[in-house]
Amino acid sequence: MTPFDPALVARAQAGDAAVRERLLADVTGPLRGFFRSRIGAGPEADDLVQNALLRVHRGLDALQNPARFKAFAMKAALFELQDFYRGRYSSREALFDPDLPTPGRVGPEDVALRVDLERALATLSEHARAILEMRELGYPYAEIAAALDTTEAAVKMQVKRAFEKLRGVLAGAATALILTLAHSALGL
Amino acid sequence: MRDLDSLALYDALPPDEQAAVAAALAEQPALAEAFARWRSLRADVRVDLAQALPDRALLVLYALADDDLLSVDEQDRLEAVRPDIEAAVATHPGLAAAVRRIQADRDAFEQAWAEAASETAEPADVAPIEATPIEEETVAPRTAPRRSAPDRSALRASQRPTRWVWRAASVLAVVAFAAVATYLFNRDAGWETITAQSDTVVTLPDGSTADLAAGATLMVPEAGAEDARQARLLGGGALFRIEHDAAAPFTVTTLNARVAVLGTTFAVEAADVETEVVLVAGAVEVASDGDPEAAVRLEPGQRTRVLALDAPEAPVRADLGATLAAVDAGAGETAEGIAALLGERFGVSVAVDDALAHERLSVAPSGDDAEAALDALARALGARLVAEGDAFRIAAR
Repeated sequence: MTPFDPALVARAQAGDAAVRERLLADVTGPLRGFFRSRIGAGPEADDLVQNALLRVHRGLDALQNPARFKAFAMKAALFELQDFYRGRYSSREALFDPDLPTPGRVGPEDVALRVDLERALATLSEHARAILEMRELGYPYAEIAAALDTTEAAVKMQVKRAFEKLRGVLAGAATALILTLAHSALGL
Repeated sequence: MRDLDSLALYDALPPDEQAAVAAALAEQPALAEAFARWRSLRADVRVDLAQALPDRALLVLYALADDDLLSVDEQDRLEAVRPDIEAAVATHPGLAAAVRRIQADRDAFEQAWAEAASETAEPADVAPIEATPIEEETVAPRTAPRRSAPDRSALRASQRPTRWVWRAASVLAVVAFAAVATYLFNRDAGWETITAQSDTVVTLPDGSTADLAAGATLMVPEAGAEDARQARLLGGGALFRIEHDAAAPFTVTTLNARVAVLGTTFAVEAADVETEVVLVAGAVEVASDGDPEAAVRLEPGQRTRVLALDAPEAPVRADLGATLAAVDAGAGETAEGIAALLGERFGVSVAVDDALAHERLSVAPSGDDAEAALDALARALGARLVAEGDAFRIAAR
């Protein structure tokens, strides 16, 4: 029997602690190889391995078909990777650094700074939109480049161009708002 | 400042360069405003994506759907929202690219699995890892090229001392991991583990509730447990609303900290070596596992953080809006729920018109006082804030 034999997975689910230990130990290698191939060999990869192992450990009992252990481990790894992207870039930024003096920070009170999202994005190419959206999904620029089959430098150039292009659109939006307010004040 | 490049790519700059950008912007108001609009736009993109796809886990399931990798439950869950996801992917090129990237992640996992199997299989005296056969019809495991017999024996002879070092290290690693796994297995007995695939409200055995952000993992005592007034947040964010019981403090533990609660609402974000606690209302004490005596008591509206086993940081004012947004983003909190939290936080009475009460917001408002926070909430709802004596009402326009 091998560690990922469905019969052994079933034994681990049934409470055989030694088999469970063996199962978890043996899945560590593939997980480490996977995460290192995606984000490099830094400490973050080790964190992801540990977190994915915990997912496997805690979810194992709910696995309905022991023969699908590999798919189960794969999904644990992919969920973990998505959480990594999401947490690193969006929610943690908002949660952990709310008081940092981030320049240009915009709160709900900054109504005048808000722009028509659809109108602004309509000025960008689909490729540029894909880059901006992937970035907001939390992907690093290098990952975005890999996903779009281009280079990191080219991706960053697209972001710079988008910023330059949108500056005009955003300034136009502000002008329109100011004119509306002025007309309203004059009763026009 | 280097030029506009620094602004466009501000989020990828190291901290020292970000600080330089911040200093430069302070002297260039026009540029600062342009940058603020840029960040506002990107924040809107983020919100738009979160509304189009509240649960990232579903994108993973969607990307894997054609490969017979989903369980029956997952297939059912996906089918229930498939039209929404397809619409979101069609509308957002970034989501379409993310789906392709997840599929590339799947292939990378298959490759890592196959490589681990082939590496383990090479030494004859080590039990092989077998790629699970039932899944192999989609991606064939990669097989390492075979060496000729003389080459192999020569290579083994030359590597023999090193091999034993590696083998010993491997055994030690397995033993160490086995110890951890055994500890986890025993520690988890009598507990139920809940991993939120999407934003989820969990009712705890004592009637308290925990709003889990997608991806958070919470352990709660099984029904009938002797001590039901405890929970373990193993990772992710959660907003706890604890039933008051002065005789039995509620305890929330994370991997490196402990929060003792009386009756209150507070948010916890836990990672392996970092725990942040934000108190919305009530009172809590936060202590590090490394120094349980050095506890910090939080007042409503304050936050603290525990890094590794250090003592908790001194409390500072929290951005409740950001906290609630981070914990409740996705499925979102109802307007009525946010209003109640803000009312509790600022000690004022708040009513919300029935037509608005069940609107869900993915971003919670912030503000330094009740009127500012509630006005922000009203504006987010497209409504207006009405002061009625000492109380407030959020009214439809």
